[in-house]
Amino acid sequence: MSLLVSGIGFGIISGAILSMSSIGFTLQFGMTNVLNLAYGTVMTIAALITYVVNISGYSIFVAAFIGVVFAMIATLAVGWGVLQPFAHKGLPLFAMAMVSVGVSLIGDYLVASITHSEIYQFQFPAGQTYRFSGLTFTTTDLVIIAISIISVAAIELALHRTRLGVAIRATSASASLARACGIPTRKVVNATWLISGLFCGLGGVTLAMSYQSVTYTMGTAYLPYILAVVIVAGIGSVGYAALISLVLSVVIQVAGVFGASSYNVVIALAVLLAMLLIRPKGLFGELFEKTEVAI
Amino acid sequence: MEYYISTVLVYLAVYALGAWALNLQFGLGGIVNFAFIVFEAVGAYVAGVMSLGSSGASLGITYIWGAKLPFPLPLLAGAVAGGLVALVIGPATMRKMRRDYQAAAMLVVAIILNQVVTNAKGIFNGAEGLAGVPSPLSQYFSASTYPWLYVIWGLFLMLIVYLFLQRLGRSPFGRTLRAIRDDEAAAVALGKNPWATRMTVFVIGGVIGGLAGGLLMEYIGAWGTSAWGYQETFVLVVAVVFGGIGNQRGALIGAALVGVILLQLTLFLPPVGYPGLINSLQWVVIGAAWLVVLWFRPDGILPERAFLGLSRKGRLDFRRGASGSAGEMDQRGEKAVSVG
Repeated sequence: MSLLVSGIGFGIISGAILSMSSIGFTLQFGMTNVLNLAYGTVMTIAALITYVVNISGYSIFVAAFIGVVFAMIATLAVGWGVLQPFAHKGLPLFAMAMVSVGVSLIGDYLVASITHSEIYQFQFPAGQTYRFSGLTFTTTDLVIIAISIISVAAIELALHRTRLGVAIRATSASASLARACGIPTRKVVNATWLISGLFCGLGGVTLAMSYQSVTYTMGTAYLPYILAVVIVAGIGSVGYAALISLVLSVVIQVAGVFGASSYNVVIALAVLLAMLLIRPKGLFGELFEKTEVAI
Repeated sequence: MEYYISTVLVYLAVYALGAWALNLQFGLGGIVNFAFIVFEAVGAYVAGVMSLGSSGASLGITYIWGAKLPFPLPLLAGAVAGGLVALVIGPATMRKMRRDYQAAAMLVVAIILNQVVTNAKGIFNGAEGLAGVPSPLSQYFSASTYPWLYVIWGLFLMLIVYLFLQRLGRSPFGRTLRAIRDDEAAAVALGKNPWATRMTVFVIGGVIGGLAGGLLMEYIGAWGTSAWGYQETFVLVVAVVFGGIGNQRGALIGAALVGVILLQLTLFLPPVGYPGLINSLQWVVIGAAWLVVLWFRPDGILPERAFLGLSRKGRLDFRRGASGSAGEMDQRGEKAVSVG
C-alpha cells in the first residue's frame, strides 16, 4: 500500500514536468504541423544554461529563469533560422520532421562536445521534506508542482479567454481562414514559438531540477514520453495533454515501484505505438487531418 | 596500419550492404524505415551467439541460443534472423498514416528494442553486449593474411547482393514495386497486391541488414547496445539520400563518403582536444550534412518520380524524372503550403 502511494507521489511530480513539456510541444505542433524532434535538444540547452548560471553563484530561481529565457530564444532560433527557410522551400511534413532530426543531432552533439559528454550534478539543496498522508515531497518537488499547476492553468485560460489565445487556436485550425478573417497569422505564429519555448524551457529546467543533474542526452531521451502524450492526446489539445501526462506518469511510476523501473520508457513507448497503430489521430485530436506546413 | 585499411574496407562492405538494403526499402518500396539498424543488430547478435558456443560458457556473459556452428552458418543465421524481425515489425510499417508519424513510430520501435536488450541482461548480455566472438576459420590463417581474406569475403558478399538487387530492380517485381510506390491506386487496379509486395521488399531488406550486421560482428568480435543507437540509421539514410535515392551506385558512394570517411577514418585522426571530442563532432557533421542534403535536394528524400524510357542500348530503363517541385511528389498526397 505504501509502495502504491509513493508511486503515485512520484507520478504526480513527473506528471507535472511532463505536462509542461508536452504542452509546449503540442502548441508548436498544432500551430506549425511540424513534428519538431529538436524540441528535446532545446530542453537540454535550457537545463544546461540553468546549471551553468547556478554553479556560477546565482540562486536556482535566477538560474532557472535565465534557462527558460534561453529556451525561448533557442526555440525562436530553430523556428526562424532553420524550420522556416526549409518550409518556404516547400518541403512536405515528412521532410520537415527530418530537418528537425538534423537540428537535434547537431544540437545534442555540440552540447556533448562542449560538456565532454559528462553528467553534471546540481549543487542546490532539495530542501525540507513534507509529508501528506503517505505522500512525501521535497521543497523542490512542491515548487515544480506549483509551477506546473500555475502555468498549465494560465495557458488553458489564455487560450480560451484572451485575444491572442483565440487567435492561436484559430490559426492552428486553419491558417488561411484565420488570415482571411484579419488575424495577423505571422505574429501569431511567432507568439506561439515564444510560448512553446517558454513551456519547453520550464519542462527542461524542472526535469533537470528533479533529476538533480544535466547531461547532453537528457532532453532527447525524454522526447519519447512527450511524443507519447502529444500523439495520444491528439495534436494541439493542451488540456488533454496535461491530463494524459499525469495519467501516464502515474502509471509508469507505480509500475516502477513494483519493480518494472528499468522498463519505464518501454511502457511509454508501447502506449505510443499501440496508439499510433490503433487510432493515430489521438483520443481528442482535431487537427490530425491538416496537411499543410504553416510556419 | 594494414589492419586499419582492412578494417575500413570491411566497414565499407557493411555500410554498403546497409545502404543498399535501405535503398531497396525506402527508395523502391517507399517504406519509411527508421528502425533499420535493428536488422543489423539482430544479425550481429545472432551471428555472435551462433559462433560463441553454448550459453554460460566461459567469458562471464549471458545470452540465449548459444551454439557453435561452422562457417558460414552463423552469418546465414544472422541474415535469416534479420528477415524474421522484418516479418514481425513489417505489418506495423504497412499501415497507412502520416509519413512523419510513421517515421516517428519506426524510431520508437528502434528505441524500444534497444532499451529492452539493454535492460534484459539475459538475452544478449545487456549494455555490455557480446564480446570475444571468434572470427570464422581464423585458426587456419596467419594473423596478417586473415584480415585481407575477410575483406575479400566482404567484397564478395557485396558483389552478390549488388547483382541480386540490380536484377531485382529490373525484374517485373521491381517494376511492380515502382508502380505501387508511384501510384498505388493504379497498381491495385492492375491487380497488384501492394501489401505483399511491400512486405517482400521489407523482408529482403531485413535479410541484407542481418547479413551486414553478421559480417561486421564476425570481424570485430563484439557488439553491445551502444553500437546500434537509433541515430546509426541516419548514417545510412544520409548515405542513401546523398548518393541518390533508388540508385545503387549512388548509395555505394554515399556509404563510402558518409560511413567510411566520416565515421571510420576519423577514428585514426591524431587526437584533437580531449578524448571523445572527435566522436561527438562527427555527429555534428552528420547532422549538418543531413541539413545540407535536405536543403539542396529536398526531393532526394522522397521517392523518385520515375518514368519508363528506353536507354541507349534499347533496354527498358528507369531514370529520374524531371525535378518536379517537392511538394507535389509525396505518395500520401501530403502537400506543403507555406503560410505566413
